[in-house]
Parts: sequence; C-alpha cells; structure tokens
Amino acid sequence: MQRRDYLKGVGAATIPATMGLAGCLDDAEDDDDYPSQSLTWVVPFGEGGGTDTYARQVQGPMQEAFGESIEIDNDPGAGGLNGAQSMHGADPNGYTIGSVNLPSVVTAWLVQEPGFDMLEVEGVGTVGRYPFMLIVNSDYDHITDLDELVDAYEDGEFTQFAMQGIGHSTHAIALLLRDEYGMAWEDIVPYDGGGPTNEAVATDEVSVGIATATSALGPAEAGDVNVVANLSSSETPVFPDITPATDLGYPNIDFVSETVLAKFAPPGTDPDRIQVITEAMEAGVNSDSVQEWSDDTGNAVDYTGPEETYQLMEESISNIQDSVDLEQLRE
Amino acid sequence: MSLGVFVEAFGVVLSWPVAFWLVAGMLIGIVVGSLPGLGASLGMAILLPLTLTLDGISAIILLISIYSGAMYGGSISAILVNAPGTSAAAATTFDGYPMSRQGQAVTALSLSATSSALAGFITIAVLIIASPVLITVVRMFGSPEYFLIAILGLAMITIVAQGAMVKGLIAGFFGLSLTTIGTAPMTADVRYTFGQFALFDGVSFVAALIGLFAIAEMLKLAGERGGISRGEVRMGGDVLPAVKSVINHPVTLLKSAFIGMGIGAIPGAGSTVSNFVAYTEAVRSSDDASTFGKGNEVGVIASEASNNGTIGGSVVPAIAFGIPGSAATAVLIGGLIMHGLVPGPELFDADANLVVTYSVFIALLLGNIVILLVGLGLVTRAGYLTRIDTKYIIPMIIALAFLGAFALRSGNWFDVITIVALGIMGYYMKRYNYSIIAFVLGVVLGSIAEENLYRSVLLSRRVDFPVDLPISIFFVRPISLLLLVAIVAIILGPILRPYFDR
Repeated sequence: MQRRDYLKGVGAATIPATMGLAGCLDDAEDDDDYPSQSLTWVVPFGEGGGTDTYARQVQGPMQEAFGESIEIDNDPGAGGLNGAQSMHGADPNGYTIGSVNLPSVVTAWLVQEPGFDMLEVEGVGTVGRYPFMLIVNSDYDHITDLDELVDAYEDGEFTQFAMQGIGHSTHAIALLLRDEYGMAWEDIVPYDGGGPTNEAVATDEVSVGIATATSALGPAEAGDVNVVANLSSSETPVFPDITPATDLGYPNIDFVSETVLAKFAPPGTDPDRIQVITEAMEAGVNSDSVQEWSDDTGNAVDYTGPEETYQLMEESISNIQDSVDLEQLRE
Repeated sequence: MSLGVFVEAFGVVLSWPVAFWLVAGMLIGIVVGSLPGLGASLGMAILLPLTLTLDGISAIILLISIYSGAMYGGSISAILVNAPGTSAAAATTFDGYPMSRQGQAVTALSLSATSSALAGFITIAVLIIASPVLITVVRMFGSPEYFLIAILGLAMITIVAQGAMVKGLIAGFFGLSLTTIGTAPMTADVRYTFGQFALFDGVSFVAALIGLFAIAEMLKLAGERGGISRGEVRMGGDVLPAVKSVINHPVTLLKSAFIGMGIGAIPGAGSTVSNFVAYTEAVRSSDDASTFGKGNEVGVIASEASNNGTIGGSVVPAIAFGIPGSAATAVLIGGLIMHGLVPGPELFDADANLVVTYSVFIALLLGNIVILLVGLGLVTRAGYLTRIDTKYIIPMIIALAFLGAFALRSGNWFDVITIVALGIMGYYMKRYNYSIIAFVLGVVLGSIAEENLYRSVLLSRRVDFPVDLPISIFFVRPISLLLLVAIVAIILGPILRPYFDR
C-alpha cells in the first residue's frame, strides 16, 4: 500500500522541495513581523484523499486570514507516519504545521513504534471530523440495521469483513466490533485504503465492510451498497436516518470510530505563533466557502483550539492503549 | 451513449478558454514528460493548486492534457539520451535509442509521435463508444485478477530474457526481492529495514528506474567520446517514411494500443507495465526477434502506442471509482474532487455530470492532433541534441537524476542511494547481458502480486470448491481462468513451440 501511495505523492512532494528552497532565502526569525513567509502544511496522505480534500478547502480562506501563503505538502506513506515525522522534525519556527488524524495516525505510531515521540508535538487546532459507517453489498438488502448484521454473522451468513489495512484504525475497529459488539467475523480482509474497500463491498468480493460516511455516499446513492450502521455516538448529516450504534445499546467506541482531523506543530513552536495560526485556521473553517462546501457535501467541519486538540491526542492514545491489544494489530 | 450530451461536450471543449487550456496542457505535458525524473504527475501536481481559479472543466482538461502530453513527451529523451522522461517510455529506449545512435533520431521521434497520436486517438474513440458498459467491465476485476495480471507480467520474463533465460530469471527474482524491503503490504511485518525509518516504505521503484536507466547509461556514455549518435549523422528528411512505417504496421499499433488500454484500466498497473507488455508482445510475435533492441522500428511503435493507449484505460477507473491506475490519475482524481466532481457513477449519468466525462474524452481525442503537429513539426528538430558532446550531457542528466530522486519523497536520502546503487548495478547488468526489463518487471509487480495473493487466499476460504485449496478462488472466476490459461501458455510456449513447429 505504501509504495503506491508514494507514487501518488511523488509529484506534490516536489513542490515544497522547491518552495522550501525559496523559503530559505529570507530570514524570518524576526518576532515583530510574524508571519513574514509562507506556512507549510504537511498532509501525511496523498492528493485527493479525505484529509487532503479538507486541507485544500480550508487552505484558501485560512491563507487570507493568515496574511501569507499556505503551501500544502503531501508526504504520504507508512500510514501517515512519514508526514507526522517530517512535521515533528521540522524547524519549530512557526512556519510548519502538520495533519495528524486521530486516531488513525496515532494508531500507526503505536503499532509501528518509529523513533520519535508523538506526544512532544504542540496542538494547533482541528478542522473537522467524520464517523465510520458499516456498509453491506446491496444484494443483501434484508440487512437493514446493526442488530440484523450482528445476527447474520452469528448465523454464519457472513464470515469476512473488509477494512482499510493492517495496523490501520479500522483494524482496531474491526477487533472492537468482534469483541465488544459481538460481530463474529472469522477473517478480516485488508484493502489499500477507503476507495478499494468500498469497491470490494460494492462488487461483493467481501460482502460487509467499513467506510467513512462521506466516502460511502457515492456507492450508496448508486445502489451498490447499503449503509446499515453509524459507529459513532452522534448522528451524521450524511446519513441522518441511520441511528448511532450507541443509541441501539452498543458500547461507545468514538475514540476509534470518529476520525478527528487534528493539526499539530513541531515540538517547541512558540505559543504566540501557534495562536496566530490557530486563529487563521478558525477563520478558515468558519468562512462562507468552507461552510457552503460542508453543507453541499456533508463533510462536517468543526474547529477546536490548541489545548483541546492536544488533549484529544492524549485521550486517543491512552484509549487505544487501554482497549485494543496492540499485539493483535501487529499480527 | 447519449448523443445530446456528447454534442454539448464537444461544444464545451472547443469553446474559449477551454481550448486554450487543452493546448497549453499538452505543451506543458510534452516538456515535463521529456525531462527525465520529472513527469506527468509532477507537472499536474504543481499546477493542481493553481487550477482553483479555473472552472471545473477547464481545470480537468488542463490536467488531463498534461497527462497525455507527458506520455508522448517521455519518448523524446528516451530516444535521444536513453533516459525515459517517464517510466511509461522505458521500453521506448530499447529500440529508440539504438536508432538515435545509428543516426535515425528523426525517424524514431516521428515514429513515436505518429504511433502515440494514432493509438491515443483510436483508444479514446473506442472508449467513447463503449462508455455505457465500461463500469460493468471494470468491476469484473477483483483481487484474484490483479494477482494473476501481476503474474502474467512476471511470466513475460521468459520472453524478454531472449535466450539468456537463467540470467533473466536471476534479474527478475532480484527485482522481486527488492520489493520485500519495508513494511509488508498486508501485514505489519517490517522486513529488511535494519531499523532505518527511511526504509519503512521500501525501495522506491521510480528511483530504481532513474538509476537503472539514466545513471547506468551515463556511466556507459562516460566511457565513450563524442555525442550520443555515432559518426556523421543525417538529421532531416525521415519524417514521412516514419509515418508510413507506422501505418504499415497496423497490427502492432492496434495490439499495443489496446494492450495499453486494457492494462491502464487495471488499477495499480498503468503505463509503467503496459509499455513493457506491449514491447515484449511485439518481440514475441515478430519473425525477426533478434533485431529488437538494436533499433527495430516496431519496438518504438509498440511501446509508444501502448503508453498513449494506457491513458484512456486509466482514466476510466479514476472517473468511475476514484481508483488511480497511476500517479498521474491520482492527481487527476484530486483535481476532480477539488472542483466538486466526485468520482463515481454520477460522472456517467446523463442527467448529472456525464458532460464532464465526455469533455475529458473529447479533449484527449483532440489532444492527439497537438501531439502529431508538435511531434512531427517541432520535436524532430530536437535531434541535434544527440550531437552535443556527452561531456555536457552527462553532468546535466546526473544532476537532474539526483534532484529528481531527492525530490521524490521530500528529501529521503535513501532514494539518492538507490539511484547510485542501481545505476552501478544496471551498468554491469547491461554489460554482462542480464535483462534489465526482467529486473524492472520484478520491481514493479512484486508488491502488487503479494498484496493481491494475500487477499485471494483469504477470499478462497469463502469459495465452494471440490478440493480444499487455499487458492481455489482462481478457478471459479471466468476472467481468472482466462488469465491462468494465458500465463501457462506464455510459460510453456517457448518449450512447446519446437514440437508444434515440427
């Protein structure tokens, strides 16, 4: 999976390399006129994915509020760890921020244990969140809700479950579905991210799978899949008719079933500068164009401040450590 | 197909400023495509953020035109300096570059322009006619079929090895073994990284290609005097015979174009694979196989027809499912989404966005005219490049190759080490007749095969089959069965052929 992601990133990765050279030319260490150069926003996934789409929507209006240009640097691979590591290692001069999706990137960090401490980074803000849904191939239209799906697994009608990669947060969700929800799958079948997983369910290669609410919209409207469960504890505007799993009496697993698009800055970044960035981010998220895009597409946008963003990461890490056996994710 | 929408789309593409972006994109594409180490995905990605100010259709047409132009542009440097501008033109070097060395650069460039344009035109025309059934066809390919297609590609080693079978197999297995470095695609096992985080994502095969083609060739040139072409070279006057030569090889042209289209439609494969498959098929079906690699015109036609044929194929899964067949289509998908055009069946719905899809097809169709005009009119004059003394060319190519490798993954030094190591290795492989193509097939197809085999084995558990086989799924799906037969035929072909010929 990673190798192909790299190819997707090959092009875009080169832009900041060039931009970065230009950036070195002027000296921006003078506190008085911050910001005085462009801000690099590291997106640890390829162009066109959910995280990238959000970043590019917010980029324009955020740039206006920030007063300098904002460059998006796609640095995909290793489940988001490449981008997270390059953000973590960047100069903490207030000109680099990076996306670290909760919980998927921190799950990858816990599983792969690369040589940097994620908890050292500084919180900047969040731009949105989206829930995971369960989708079933439309040939099985007798399955209409989560209870019926759990029963179908118990009866042996389904034995397999499609998710988005070993060590991915959807892998953790799959384990929780089996152990906490009683959805007794025998095999989990990993795919290379969200698109291929949806496609596998749409073609009945695997009959049941997991998808983000927005990505499930297309195949659901085309009649290829039925969305049968919302794994988050809150309703989603994309599928308002699907009752959240917690309302049906299932345990709350929001710490893995809701993706939070959180942004962080390198360890040691000046809090005053983070304040300037986060205010621009808030203005970007609340701008008319982003709100309109959100209404049109159902992508929920949602700003939270630096401290709360950092807390969300801490909670995400400790929740995963408490409730998921990391050894199982490494298998 | 919906004729009304088609006519509307035609009007859209010919309107101002869409037509301008079409031509601009083609020219940008040809330039970035011809520079080794750069390529379509880079050009598209640089311009992607700038397209925000354009309307959706202009933006998409600009991007797709860069893609199409770069597919052709890649052949220019492949022919002139043996460094394919894009991996899609790698097989063009095999015969295109020897032609340059024999003073036939203009002929080779004309062959490339003509076969690129014709193949592009024909495949897109077929695509437009077939658009109503496309989705159904694409959906017949699942994990088992992807695995078998990768194996089919590996089986091609028996053909490309051309007599040096053991050396070919060694090269192929070495390529395969390189793909085992890094995090395993389907499990969280980390293999052969020696604790280096830079190796978690394995060896970049783009870096491997830059090393094998650009660096290795520069090492070889460094041992020679003068320009790339040997002796006195005639540069002009060979355009028309080349155009005729393409037309006189309709079977190679059509076969290669549709091989390209078919492989392009398979996600993850794309033009990097298709140009090798088309090339090896041209070698296989030729009565004169021994002249390939020494400047056979058919080799250039096959490779160049296939890579432009790939465009049509790879655009389909991108538009239909948002599944990229290549780096460039991944950026294209990014562009679609950025402009609110979500890939999916809506883009094939006459009441919704079918007009966008048809506009893309028509732009690709008309773009081929630009390739033909620019290719035959301007690029053929670029032949003088081959007469520049190599002492000026080598440093330029080496610098570009290093820059390209360094930029590949935002400054991962490992990619620079890769091009140097594989450059040296490629130099010796060539010298001692180890097939470079076999090696490349291994590098490209290894992870695709591994990933899909793993899934196929899991999926086989659900299959009712008389015998309990971990790979039973390959025997119960019609396309899988066809692919299995093709693989067996390719592997056993060279062994059984003498018996049939008797």
